[in-house]
Amino acid sequence: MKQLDLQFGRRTGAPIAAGKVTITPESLVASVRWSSFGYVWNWPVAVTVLQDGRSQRVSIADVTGLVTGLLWLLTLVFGLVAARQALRRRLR
Amino acid sequence: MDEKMEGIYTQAVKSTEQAAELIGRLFRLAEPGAVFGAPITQGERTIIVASELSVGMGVGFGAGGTAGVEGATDAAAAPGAGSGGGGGGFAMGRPVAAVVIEPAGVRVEPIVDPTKLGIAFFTTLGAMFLAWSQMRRAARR
Repeated sequence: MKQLDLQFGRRTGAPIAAGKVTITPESLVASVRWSSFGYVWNWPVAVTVLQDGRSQRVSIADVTGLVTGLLWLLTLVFGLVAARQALRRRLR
Repeated sequence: MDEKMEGIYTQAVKSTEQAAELIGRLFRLAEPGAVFGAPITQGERTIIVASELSVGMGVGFGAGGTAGVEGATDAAAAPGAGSGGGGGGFAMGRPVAAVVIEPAGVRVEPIVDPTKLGIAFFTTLGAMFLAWSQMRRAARR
């Protein structure tokens, strides 16, 4: 049986030069590999900026993702409540 | 289309080894460089777009056959074989933020997707209404 390969972690990319500034990207990666199936989810979390000899790490907040995630979670909760009520009524 | 993505989508898979090699190429997208765009410099300002990327792919092959019945003349008892294969995948990309680098400093501008927020919001409203109507029906009884 083929081995399931699950990976999750923070990865730092190669520095990118942009004029006098050097940017080092950082992302979180979740990946699955099993036999002939593969899945990769990669999202940015921060950049480290080297400018004028100073290094600064800037976090990247995914506003759309956070709000959407919260809304889908609420949808799931309300959906479960509705399903539970419908099941209760059917059993009576 | 990005070169890395094009190499995945336009490949004809003729064997399980090729399928495994194609799946392996998918993992090149697991590098931070895949979600950060090339810096765009305009005057003293540099902008880098950061995106979220999600890609999945699966391929399957199958084959089978029967030895048949020795000495049989019936077509139903004759040996037979068959094989088949299929595959599918998906890809999703979404800009998350723009990193703006200026002489004054660095700032991150979030990129808000109102369409996605709107879809999620109205789906939540629908689920709320469904839960409320089910609870009202239960309370009436």
